[in-house]
Amino acid sequence: MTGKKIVDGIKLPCDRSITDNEHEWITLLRLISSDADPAPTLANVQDLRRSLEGRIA
Amino acid sequence: MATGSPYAGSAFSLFLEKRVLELKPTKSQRDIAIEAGFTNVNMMSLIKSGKTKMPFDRVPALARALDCDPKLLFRLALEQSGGETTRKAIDEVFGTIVSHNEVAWLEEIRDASDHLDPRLTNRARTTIRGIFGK
Repeated sequence: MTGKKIVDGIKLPCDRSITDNEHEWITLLRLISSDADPAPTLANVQDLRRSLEGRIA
Repeated sequence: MATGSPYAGSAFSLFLEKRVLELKPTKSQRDIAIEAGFTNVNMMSLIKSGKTKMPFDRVPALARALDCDPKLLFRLALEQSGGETTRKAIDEVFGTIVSHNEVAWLEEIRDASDHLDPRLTNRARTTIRGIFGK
């Protein structure tokens, strides 16, 4: 297997835009975490899923 | 300037102060300044105290020195500069500045909602506040 050749200094932007709703989620995360940029943990994700699954069902 | 510290209390200054404190057991503020390529090591103190703002050209190196996401640092530097119109222009041309961790959160939200683009309801707000103990 040959390795990928990386061109330094060039990055593609994220290929997906974020929606207005997603922007609201991100804004809240920034506010609540005081811009600490937390990574989602397993426990966080489980809480999030419970919250979202409850409202989708 | 009236106070001499026009950027005191900015999100960038607060973040820098917090990271320097967190990294103290492993590296000094001077080490961080040198890693970030500041020719004047006092720049760190000046930025922390809000006497001067973060120069954009040092953002990538400082992010490496602070072991944090450069996009987060760039966004905070942009906010510190009061560049709301600049931020909007950047958002429009390049897309909203989102950190690696924020992308991870968005992916989780998309996945958990079956990509239904859920609104941020009061219940969701409560959940997020609960996650961060607020």
